[in-house]
Parts: sequence; C-alpha cells; structure tokens
Amino acid sequence: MSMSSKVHCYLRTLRMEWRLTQVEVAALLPKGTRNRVSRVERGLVPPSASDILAYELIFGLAGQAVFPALYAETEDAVMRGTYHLYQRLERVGGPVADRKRELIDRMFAHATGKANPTKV
Amino acid sequence: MSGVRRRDLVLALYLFTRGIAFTLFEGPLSPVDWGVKDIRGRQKNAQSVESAKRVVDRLQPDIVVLLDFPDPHGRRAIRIRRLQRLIASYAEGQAIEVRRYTRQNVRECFKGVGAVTRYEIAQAIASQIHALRNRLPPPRKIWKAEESRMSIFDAASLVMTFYCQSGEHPEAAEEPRA
Repeated sequence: MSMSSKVHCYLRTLRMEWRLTQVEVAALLPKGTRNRVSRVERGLVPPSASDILAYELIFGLAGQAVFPALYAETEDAVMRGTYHLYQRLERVGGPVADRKRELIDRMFAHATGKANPTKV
Repeated sequence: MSGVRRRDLVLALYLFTRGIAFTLFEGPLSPVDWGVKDIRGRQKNAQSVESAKRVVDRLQPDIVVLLDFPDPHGRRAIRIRRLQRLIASYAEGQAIEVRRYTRQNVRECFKGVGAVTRYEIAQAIASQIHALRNRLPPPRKIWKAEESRMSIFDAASLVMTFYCQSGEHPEAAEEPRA
C-alpha cells in the first residue's frame, strides 16, 4: 500500500531545514518576493513553472516531492484527459492512432508505477 | 485511488511559561513543520489559545498530542494546566483526536536508547531527525535561562512517544523524507 501525503507543499519544511528565511529564498528565485514565497508556502497561490524549476535547483528535489498536492492534482487532470483521448482512439485505426495508443499505454503504466522505460 | 493511505498528521503542542512550541510530523522520522511562539505581556492564556488555534487551523492535524499532568498537586502551573484544557477542548471541538502522554511515558519511550534527562532525549531526537539537528541548543548552564528552542524537542518527544505507543518505533521507521 502506498502512502500519500496530506501536506500540500514541503517548501516551508525544506526552508526551515536549511535555515533559510523567506527573504533569502525570495532572493534565490527569479522575480521572487518574500510575500510570494509566503503565499506559496501556505498554499494560497500555486507556484509558477519557474518557481518549481528554481526550487528543484535550490533543494535538489523534484517538483513532485516539494509540491505533492499540486502534482496529484495535475496528474489527476492529465489522466482524466488521457482516458478521454483513449476512448476516442478506440474507434480509430491506423499507424498514427497506434502511436498515440502506445504513448497512452506508457502513461498508464507510468501512473500505476509499472513503467518500463524504453528509448523513443 | 484504492490502495493509497494518507499519512496521519500528528501535531504536538508543548506549553511552557514563555509560550508554545509545536511540531508536526507525518511519520516517525518525518517532521513537516516546527516552531516556537513566544507569548509575552498580559493575558498570556488568551494569547496562547489564539496562537494554538492558529497553528491547529493552519496545519490541520489528524491527532493532537499534549503533555499530561496526572498529579493535580504537581509542579506544573495552574495557568498551564488550564491552557492545556482549553487547547484540548478546542481540538476536540474540531473533531481532532487528542492524546496525552506523561513525562513517564516519554521517558519509557526513550529508555531503549539510554536517554533519561530532557537534554539526552533532545539529543536522541536530534541524532535521528536530520531537520532538527541544527536546532539543538547547547547544554544549559545552571545560571542561564533555558533556550526556547529546547521546547521544540519537548514537543518532538511527545510525537515520538505517540509513535512509540502506536507500535511505530522511530528506529524501526522508514527513512526520513528529505
């Protein structure tokens, strides 16, 4: 049984672990402000793409580990869309549809933790 | 998704003369948040309750752990005892499970690692939890007041006792998350 976290983001945990202030973290971010760091920490605003990349560089952890709730939310939306695409492709044949189905199979396998990485 | 269990968030609140310390854990070796709220001035209990409420509301724990004072004639101040009851009733009102452990329970939990005194227990916690390692104050000199951050370790020891009594011994637990 896998364990998921109830914590929406680990930014505050990581910041305190490394004894950084919000001002110091803001100074490390492109266009960062202390207020924005605080709001992201408290889950009042979602992090921007550049924030996620910057935190990955700062703490050496993937965005998924720092923002588990955002990741879960995004994964849910992507998998929902993927399922609809899969349903549409069921009525379509040909090499193009096959290639798309191949990608969808890989996505489902990855999402369920059975991914077998292959070279594209 | 079936087969996925969400970790319970365990919040320990440690009340002391100068304020409130809190630690939030999602596993025996996984602290999520910790800190000390210094309470100064008049109406300390009213300020402390407000502070505790803010912490509980922000962190949304599943379980709140408090220190139990079984002896009604013990050394703990009446103000702190009353504050403890106020915080416990607030948490219960929010449908949060409240657990209480005595100092004796805490000592029994750390007996296995040879830690007996508060400082030894704090050292044991600091050695197991990376994130709190650099928060450990130096040993207190008898002519000096205790540092507030020591109370973070008191709160952490309550969480550890919770996991210990739940059968999740810190040493047998999973690796720290980060």
